[in-house]
Formats: sequence, C-alpha cells, structure tokens
Amino acid sequence: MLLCLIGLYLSGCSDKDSLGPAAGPILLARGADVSWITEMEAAGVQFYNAGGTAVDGLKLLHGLGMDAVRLRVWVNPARGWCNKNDVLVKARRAHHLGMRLLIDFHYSDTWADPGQQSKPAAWTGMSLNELKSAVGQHTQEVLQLLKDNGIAPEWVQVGNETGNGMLWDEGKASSNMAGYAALSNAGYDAVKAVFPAAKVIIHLHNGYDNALFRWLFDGLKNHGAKWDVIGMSLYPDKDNWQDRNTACISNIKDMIARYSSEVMICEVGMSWDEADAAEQWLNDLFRSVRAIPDQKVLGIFYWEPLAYNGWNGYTLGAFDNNGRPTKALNAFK
Amino acid sequence: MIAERLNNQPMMKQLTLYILALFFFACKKEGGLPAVTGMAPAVLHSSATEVSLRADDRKGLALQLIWDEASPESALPMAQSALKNKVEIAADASFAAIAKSTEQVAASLSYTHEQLNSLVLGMGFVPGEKKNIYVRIASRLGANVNWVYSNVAAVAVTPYEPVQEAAYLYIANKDLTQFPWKLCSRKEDGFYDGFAKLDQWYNFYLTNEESASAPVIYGSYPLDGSQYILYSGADRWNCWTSKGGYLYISADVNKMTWKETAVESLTVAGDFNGWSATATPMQYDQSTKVWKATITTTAVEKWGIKVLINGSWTWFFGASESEGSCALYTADGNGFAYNQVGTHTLVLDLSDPKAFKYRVE
Repeated sequence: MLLCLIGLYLSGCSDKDSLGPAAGPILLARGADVSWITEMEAAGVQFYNAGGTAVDGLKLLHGLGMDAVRLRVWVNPARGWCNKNDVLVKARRAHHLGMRLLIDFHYSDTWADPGQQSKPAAWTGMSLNELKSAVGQHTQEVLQLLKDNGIAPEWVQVGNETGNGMLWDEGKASSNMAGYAALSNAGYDAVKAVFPAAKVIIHLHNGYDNALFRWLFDGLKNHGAKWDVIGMSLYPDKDNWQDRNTACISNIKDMIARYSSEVMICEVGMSWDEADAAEQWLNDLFRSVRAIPDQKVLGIFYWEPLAYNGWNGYTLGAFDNNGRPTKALNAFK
Repeated sequence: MIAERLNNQPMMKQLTLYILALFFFACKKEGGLPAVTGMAPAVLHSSATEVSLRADDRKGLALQLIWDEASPESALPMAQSALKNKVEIAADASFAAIAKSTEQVAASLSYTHEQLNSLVLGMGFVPGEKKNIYVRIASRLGANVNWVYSNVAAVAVTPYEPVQEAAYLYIANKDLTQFPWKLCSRKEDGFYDGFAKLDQWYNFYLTNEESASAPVIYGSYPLDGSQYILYSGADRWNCWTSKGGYLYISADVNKMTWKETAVESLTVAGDFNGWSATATPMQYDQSTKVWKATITTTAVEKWGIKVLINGSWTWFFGASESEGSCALYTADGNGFAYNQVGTHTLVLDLSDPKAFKYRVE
C-alpha cells in the first residue's frame, strides 16, 4: 500500500498531467472540437499520454492546457452520434473538468459545410416560416437540455461554415440572403432565449478570405441579421501557413473594425504528420491574435485533434498513429 | 432523458478520513506527503431509462452512461491514472452477481445496439423481453483502498434475436407450411441440433428460413436406404423419422448427414436425491412444450444440479455461461445453479436450441 501511494506521488510529478482545473483569469479560449470522442471510444479507440498510458482523451487534452471544447449538434443523425443526448454526454464530461463550451449547430442530419447544407430529413418541404420555427425549436430544445443539466455554453454557433448560408435552398446566401438572415436570426433569438449571456457566432470557412467574409457579412447586415462573434476556419499546409496567418489576421482586424464584432477561430487543423510546421504555425497564430487589442479574439479551437490512425479518413488531427498527442498541441499550453 | 440521481451523496466523510489517515501514515515514512481531499463516489447518469434494441440499427447509438467522478486534490499534482473507475453491470439491483465489470479510463461509456444486445444476451436476457440492467461506478484512489460506489442507474432493456446467418434449421412439414421445431448451430460450424416431439413416420424437410421459398431446403438423398443423407437437390425426397416421440435430432451440413435419438427420459440429479440417475424423472407437458419436475431441497445445491438424458452421466444438461440457461454436455461437466430451498418446480424449455432455458417456479 505504501509503495502504491508513493508511486502515485512519484508518477504525479508532471504538472502537465494534473487532475485539477486550470487556474487563472478567463482569457483566450484554447479549445478542441472533440465531437467524435464518444463514437471513437465505442469503437474501441484509446488515447495515450506521452508516457504511453491509456487515459481519458478529454482529460488528456485538458492536461495539455486546453480549456474549452466545441461540440457539433446534428438534428437526427443516422446512427445517433452527435444528437442532443450524445452532445450532453460530452458536454457534461467537459463541464465536469471545468472546461468551457462552444455548441455548434449544423441544422442538418449530417455534415454541413460549404459543399453541402442539407436540411434535416424531418424539415424537408417546410416553408421559410416553418423552417424558422424549426430552427428556433431545435436550438432551444438542445440548449434547454444542457441548461436542465446545469451546463451553460459560453458560445453558440448558428450554422457551420455557412459561407454560402445554410438550410439550402431557402437559406442559400448566394440566392436568398434574406432567407439566410431570417433563419440565422431564428437561431440567434433561440440562443438568447435560453442563455442570454451566451455569445452567438456565425462561422465561415477560409478565414483568410476577406472578400468572402465581407460579401457575406455585408449581406447579412443589410438584411438585419444579428450576431455577436464572427467565426472562422483555417486549414493551411506546411508551405503556406505564414501567408494564410497574415491574411487571416488582416481579415480578423477588418471584421473587428468593419462590424465591431468579436472573432473566434472556431476550427484549425494541419496534417498530423507535419507536427513541426503545425506547432510553428499555431504558435504564430496565438502570438498574433494575442497582439490584437482588447481581447477581441476570443479563442482558437483545434478541430478533432483526437482523430488518428485513419479515423474516418481524417488526417488533420493532432495525434500520431499510436494515439499520442503531437507537438502541434504545445501551442495550446 | 437523463435519469435522476437515484442516490446523491456529496461526500463520504468516512472515506475521506480514511484516505487522510493513509496519507498521514505515509507522511511518517516519507516526510511531508500532503493529504488528499475530495475523494467521493462518482455520480452516474444514464441517457435513457428504457431501451428497445433494434436489429436494423445495429451500429447505431443505443445507450450512454456518464459519470461525474470525484475530483481528488492534493497540494502536489496527482497522476491522471491515480483514480480508477470501473463500470459494474448486474441483473439484480443488489449486485449480488456482477455480470460485467470493466475498468474505464473515459468518463462515459457508449453502447451501440449491437454491443448492448450482445451484453444482455450474455446475461441471459431473452429476446423480446424487457428486463432491467443495473449499473454503478466503482471508484478508488490507489490499489489497496476500498472501492466506493456511485448511485445505481436502472435501465430496462429489450434485446433482439441476434441475426446470424443460418443459425437455425427449421423442421418443416411435408407441405412446407408448418415449422413446429428448429435446430440450431450454436457454434455456427454447420453442426445443428435440437429437440423435437414428432409422430412416428413424420415426414419433414430442414429449411434455413420459415418459408416454403427458403433458399436452402434439405431432404434426403433420393435413393432407397439413404434417408439419413441430407440432399438439397430439386429431386430430393423428404426425411422421415422412424422412431417418433421426443427426439434429439442433429444435422451436420458439412458431412450432409442427420441423426435421430429417442429421448426416453430426463431425470434430475443433485445432492437433494443423492445424485440418483433415476429418482427424479421430469414429465413432458404437451401443451407448453416444456419438461417439469418437482424438487424438494433442504439446502442450496452446492454443486448445482444436472438433468440427465436417458440416465447418462455423459449426456446431460449442466452449467452454462448465461443465467437461466443450461448447456448440453456430451462429456463430464458441472451442474447448473439451483439455489432454491424447499419444494419447487423445475421447468426446462428445450424448444429453442439456441439456449436451453430453465426456471424454477
């Protein structure tokens, strides 16, 4: 017994491997999208700390310095993963660790991104007004479930990578900006109805593409859309990350000045086997956003860093093929 | 959605004191080791209180268990791996027999329909019948400390009949309109067996579906004297039983043969009757297709009991891995559990050879 307890203390010498919540003032969120974690665990995938011990993937990220998680919500996904109950499970785990929470509504049964913004099956055939109600109801239902369980997200995304709107075709920005603005506002109002203090994010892909952001947010503004935070994704490669960071920071400054918005970098990622470049890139990105005055950039989230060894064919995670974190995550300390 | 906490104990002071004492003891030897505080039972939640498992959504998410674990703290950081949690699942709320105990590093556990179905069938649940599983989380900090237990979550689970290709061969009447009995390949190795009550000279086929258009229909080879040779060609003859009565029938589709053995008797043997092969015969109940025997015991059967076929010690029903089931042995083996004391009726249901079931009334 004595040996065991001593061993316990000896093994606990690393301060990167701590059970306690992170201390200090609440500043820039250093987050991860971990929406896959329950599905990966059910498939038998394990995560290992640097010492090779299998540990809880979420605690591992927390111990590496991450203080926030992002969770996607699908309306009625085919196999259940990322439905509201699954979201609650992951949110509760994060909440229990003292981590902050970003909820990401896709308003779809599956992936919503610039390539597809498919309506949930149950919403097909609805008029624009019916879709607005459905967006409001779904948003409130999911958030109320979290609230009923004592969990409050700090940020809520209405739509995912909606560079060309969402809930196509009624909410397709290029053909119906007014429709998109109306649907987005239905989400905004629903968020505020449940969590008045939560900040609402509208999130676009290609954070370096200022023209895209100006086109979309000018359009939304002209149609009375409401938002608190402009969100962006950024997926450079090892050869272009300097240029992309420069363009992204410039875009961020323009968004702050042009719309008086705060900014969240909702998704980042680089190929897991370019960890050296990824670490440099992310260190540079953190330095640059911290240099922006008044903490107008709220945080940076790595998208699904836990995905490894070909999980769902995704290669931009931050774990190596043995399930250990790469040095890319050093930037989140 | 989320099951209410059945039991909420914010802090187990006794345990904390115990751990404090442990560390104080450790301090004497090591000097200056700090105390641990905040060790408490986990608080368990379940995503559902009732789950109907679905064969058509086997890979889909069926049930999630999540627990808020203790957050022990000390002046020095502790290893993440210091706190151990295991998920314990039982078919009884008292956890007298734990069916499944899994050490778990993640703070939640998700089951697909297929995974949960396999788990509860292994616990002896019957497809289509709703029954509770009971779940709790056992936690401890250090190997020599007692486990502390969370609240218990009860989930009513209705499993489905697992879909396995050609798990059964059905005994079909000559018109292929009735399928009164079936054989099962429990090891899925092409060897099927089971029990059937048939009239002498009953004509039948063996089919892999309960349908006249089953993809595979075995009869016997169309040649005099070949009635125990299986044959699925269009010119097959039907099989027939020369014995009749309660029969053990086996079919081997690798060797393409089948056999019949008359079951003359089933007798119960155990401590209660001095392991007699003849003293306690079972009676066949034609209407419910089960065997019954009245047994009087004065103590729990230490070695379990056996049901002998034709009085044989090497052909009997004995211990099985699943509760409520017994297994067919063709060599020596252990008896199956019989814990009742007093006079009861043992009921043996051999109608589904996938699992030979018994119950005590």
